[in-house]
Amino acid sequence: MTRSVRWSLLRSGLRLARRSLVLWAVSIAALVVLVVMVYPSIRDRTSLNSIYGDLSPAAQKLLGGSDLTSATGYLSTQLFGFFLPALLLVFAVGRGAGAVAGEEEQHTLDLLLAQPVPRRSVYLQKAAEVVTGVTLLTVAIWVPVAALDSAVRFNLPVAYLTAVCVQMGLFCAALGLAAQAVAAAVGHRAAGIALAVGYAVLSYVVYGVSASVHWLIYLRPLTLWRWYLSNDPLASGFGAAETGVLAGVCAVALAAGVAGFERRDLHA
Amino acid sequence: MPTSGDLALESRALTKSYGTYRGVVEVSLQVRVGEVVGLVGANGAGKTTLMRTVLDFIRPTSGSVAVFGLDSVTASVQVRRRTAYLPGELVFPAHLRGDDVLLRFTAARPALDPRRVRSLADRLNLDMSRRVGELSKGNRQKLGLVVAFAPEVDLLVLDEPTSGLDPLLQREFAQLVAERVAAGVTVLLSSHVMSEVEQIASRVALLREGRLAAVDELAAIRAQSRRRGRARPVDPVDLPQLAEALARVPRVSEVTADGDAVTFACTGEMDAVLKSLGRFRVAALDVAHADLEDAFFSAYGESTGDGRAS
Repeated sequence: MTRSVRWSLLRSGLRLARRSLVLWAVSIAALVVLVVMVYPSIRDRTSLNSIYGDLSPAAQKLLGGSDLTSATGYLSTQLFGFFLPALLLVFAVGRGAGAVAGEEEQHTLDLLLAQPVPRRSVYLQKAAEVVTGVTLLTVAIWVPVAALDSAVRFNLPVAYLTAVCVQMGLFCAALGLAAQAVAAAVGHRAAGIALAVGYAVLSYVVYGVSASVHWLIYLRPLTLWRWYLSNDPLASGFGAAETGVLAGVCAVALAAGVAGFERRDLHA
Repeated sequence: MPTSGDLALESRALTKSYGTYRGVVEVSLQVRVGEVVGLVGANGAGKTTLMRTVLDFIRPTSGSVAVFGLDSVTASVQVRRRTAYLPGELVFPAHLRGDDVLLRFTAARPALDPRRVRSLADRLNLDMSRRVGELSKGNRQKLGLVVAFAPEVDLLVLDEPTSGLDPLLQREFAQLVAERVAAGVTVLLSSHVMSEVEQIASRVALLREGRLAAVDELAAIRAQSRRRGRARPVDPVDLPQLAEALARVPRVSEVTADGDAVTFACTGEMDAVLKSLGRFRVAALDVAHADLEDAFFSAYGESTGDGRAS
């Protein structure tokens, strides 16, 4: 089999999804531009910091910090702490759960798989489509922040911006691939969405509350939020352990997904 | 018994059970290269299960399926390289154009011959540039046929291929199948009604409640089929003798006088019937088209009710 045939489902999938991908990317970039452009009007009003500063440590954690007026504090509380990962999760989990199970529920999986490709390959090309989408959206976030950096005087090192974007992308890809694995293993999109969203919300709360409730600290390693955020990539750059764990979760989700999907009888 | 080299498809004691839901039970079927075999049976009789096992969408509980000697599970990719499939439940994404659908579902096959695609679409009278959402059910079925017939394969597995097609297109479909068969392709197709299969298939396999109830050549079924006839003499006085003469003909039964005519049933050749009528002045002779479905079910089935439900 030639290389062109091998990745042909990915290419045709991306071609068919290009309009919605562009729409997602443009919308997210526009939102980021909007939020970034507000920064100069807030930068010098340090009194704003008392708003978040009075909150409990848990609430601060959930909101992405207490510091509204520094560049990293602003980006963290307004974008990277919750808003952007939540948006990206909606995309990743939706696409992931729909990747295989969506085709199955729409009765189009039979025709895809009637072609001479191993199931594993169909699964992986679908996963590649999800990861490509997440990557595209991450770039759509990185570009406006980097482009406007000097205009709004963030003075954020590019490496740190890249670090937070990559860790966020990996974090969302991991949950998207987990949603794909669960949904494909049972043939129902809703199963993947429910588990991934349920986990994301619950682990977000655990991650935040663990700042005040001491024993919860032991559960933090189980929350992917900890591996995305707690090395503070905006202020300190890449965390080797963080990046490694997130990439590892992606790999495990892929392997488990392939195994679950290959073994199954498909619904007609 | 044919050797495995001549077989395009062979299921060996294939059983698929889904908990309480019945799939197929011990189905052993052989399809020779170049044959057209029709699977006939009610919905739920196991036609789709058998076909989807060939393509490895579902795995046998026991038994196996081989396509050109290749196991459907362990050599699934090679099997699918040589096989095209038309699903019974045919749904395409509504926002896609016909061309996109074709590209999507043949992307992982060798490049299609564009002339072949165009000629297929033309013959089926299908506009490939229209969106699926704008197509009627019949037109969607045609699109499915284009997806199945466009690639160069050796085996066509067609689940209910003519459902939704008008009679004219059913004839065009039969023509398409005949051309592919002339080129050496083997065809396995299904229907819940015999009449859709009898123009196309050379052999028919009857599935009932997951079991293979019968397999026979269509010619043999035709030979066993009963025609109903009605002969009316010019002179009503001849009626009793005419009835008596018909009753003496072998393989004629149910001779009854019915008003000014005699009705009868006849199996196999009509020749003896015509000769026995030669002595009389016959005003009219009506013979109904043989109902193969009736023949099939009366020959093999104890009850026709469940097998003929639509």
